[in-house]
Amino acid sequence: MSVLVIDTSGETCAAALASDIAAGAGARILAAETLPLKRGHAEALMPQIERVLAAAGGIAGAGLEAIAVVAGPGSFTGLRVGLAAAQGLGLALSIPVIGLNAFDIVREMLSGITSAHPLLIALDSRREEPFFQAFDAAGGTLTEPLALPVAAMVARLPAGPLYLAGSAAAAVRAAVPDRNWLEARVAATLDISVAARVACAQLLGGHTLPPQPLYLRAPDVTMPQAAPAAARGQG
Amino acid sequence: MTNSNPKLDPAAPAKGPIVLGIETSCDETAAAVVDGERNILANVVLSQLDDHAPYGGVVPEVAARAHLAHLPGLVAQALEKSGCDWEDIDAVAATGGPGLIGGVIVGVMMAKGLAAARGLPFLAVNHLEGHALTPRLTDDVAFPYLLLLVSGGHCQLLIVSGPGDYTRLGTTIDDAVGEAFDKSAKLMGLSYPGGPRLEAAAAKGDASRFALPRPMIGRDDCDFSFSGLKTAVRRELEKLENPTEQDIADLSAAFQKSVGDSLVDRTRRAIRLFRQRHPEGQSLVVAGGVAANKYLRARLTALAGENGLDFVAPPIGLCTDNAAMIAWAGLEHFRRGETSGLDFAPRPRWPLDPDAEPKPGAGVKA
Repeated sequence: MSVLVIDTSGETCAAALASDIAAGAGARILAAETLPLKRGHAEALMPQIERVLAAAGGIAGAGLEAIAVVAGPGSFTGLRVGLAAAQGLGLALSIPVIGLNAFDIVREMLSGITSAHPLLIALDSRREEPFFQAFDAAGGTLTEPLALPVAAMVARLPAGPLYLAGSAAAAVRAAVPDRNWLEARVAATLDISVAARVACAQLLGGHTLPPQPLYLRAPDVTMPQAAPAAARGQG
Repeated sequence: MTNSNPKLDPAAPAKGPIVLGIETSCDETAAAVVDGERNILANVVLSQLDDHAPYGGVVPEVAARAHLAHLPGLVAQALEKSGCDWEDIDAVAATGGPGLIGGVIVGVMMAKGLAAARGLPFLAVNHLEGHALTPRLTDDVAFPYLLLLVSGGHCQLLIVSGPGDYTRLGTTIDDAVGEAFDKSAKLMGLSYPGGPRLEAAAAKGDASRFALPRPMIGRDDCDFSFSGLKTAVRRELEKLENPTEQDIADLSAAFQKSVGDSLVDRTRRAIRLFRQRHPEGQSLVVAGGVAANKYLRARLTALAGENGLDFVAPPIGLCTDNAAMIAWAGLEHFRRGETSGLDFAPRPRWPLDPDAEPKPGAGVKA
């Protein structure tokens, strides 16, 4: 029995195989692979999954009981690569597919923070507004995942010292330098092994998200009179 | 949701190979199951028309999101309607391009996941080949045949000699014919999707009232051009100032007639070339979304008759985008022992005839 975990949300393409749901956060990582990749996830992902599963006897031998996929936030196209592949696998294997919130993974990756203060995680969106989620000192959520201008997000947060982490942390610190920011170090890309343990813990606890993309932003569209950029075909 | 194919008969015993097909390259999300005896066991299509209508055209990111939201349910539905289990499926095919890449990626990744899960071959299908081979699914047309492929993204004349074996005789050098319909309809204030609405307006119009150009007629090649015709429509509209419903109907009819004259003239030349190269060829086939236009179908039927060729156009539901055509094209390649790797890269551009010269004005459409 095992759980396959996939991440194509950012500038890596990653897959891991975790031992079993019953072990929860203590699940063993049977195999994992992370490729640095700016584009080309659609080509790289499925052969990578096959390599990772080969460690457990291939897709038939691995005895998959669930698939977890990073549902966002992240690159829109990247999210769809992972979610479509995961749903294809889940549909044909008749096993559940769950979505993982990237902020939950970053939180597990953090080290060296105490539970004395709230935490703001800021992830790079390649746009003006980073992706944010805030958590209270006890680990509960202060906000849902959001895409907001830095000032608007910071205005929503309680007074006092705050841990700040994530790939957009430096940008937030630069935009609002007068806050009492406490440093919380974390790698710029998601750790697929950590993602796998988060997935097993959520599956064990029954607190899972559906495999639906967390875009956090509406599509960039303009109404026809402004810019009819789109083309319509008859077939 | 439609499931309107006349050949659809889930009760008929399926004959192998059985292929599951997926189509997500524009604004229809579709899944289908087809067998080697040309039976369409399931064919479900979900149009995103309502998602895009507010924007007056297909918005790629909106389309990609809708494909991901709907495709898993449609695949499950197609399989259920086909009466097949996963054990019955022999291969999984998906449109691998050309098209809006965000949507193509969704279909390709879903198909790769399904194929990998069941240990099945995966086939990346050229969307245009789906249209091109549909007459073999519906009418068992023998190779070689002459194909007029007319859609929102393409306007080409091709000799079809076999799966993957195409010789382009002519192409648009600027707009595709369906694009010309949609853009002209938009100029005339007809709502999205414009092509079918323009056809409906034209049915009530007098084509002789406006003298529109008949592009490319008499030229010594088989190419098309439609951007000048669209400009002529704009000029007539400017002269009319406040066009009445009848003005729009008459202008639509004139536009449609010009397109028909141009298609007939270009196709007549192509028939001559086809005859020289393939005296055994018997069929003129029209495929693609514009083949749903009844006026143009009638004009081309007459042309085929004059030239002693059989005229074949798939039923209208199989001219517009669907997954049965993708399953069928995949099946034709699968029967020849051809499959795609799970590392297949979705292709925004994918010409049917890779040796044909590019037309800079038409770009990906040529």
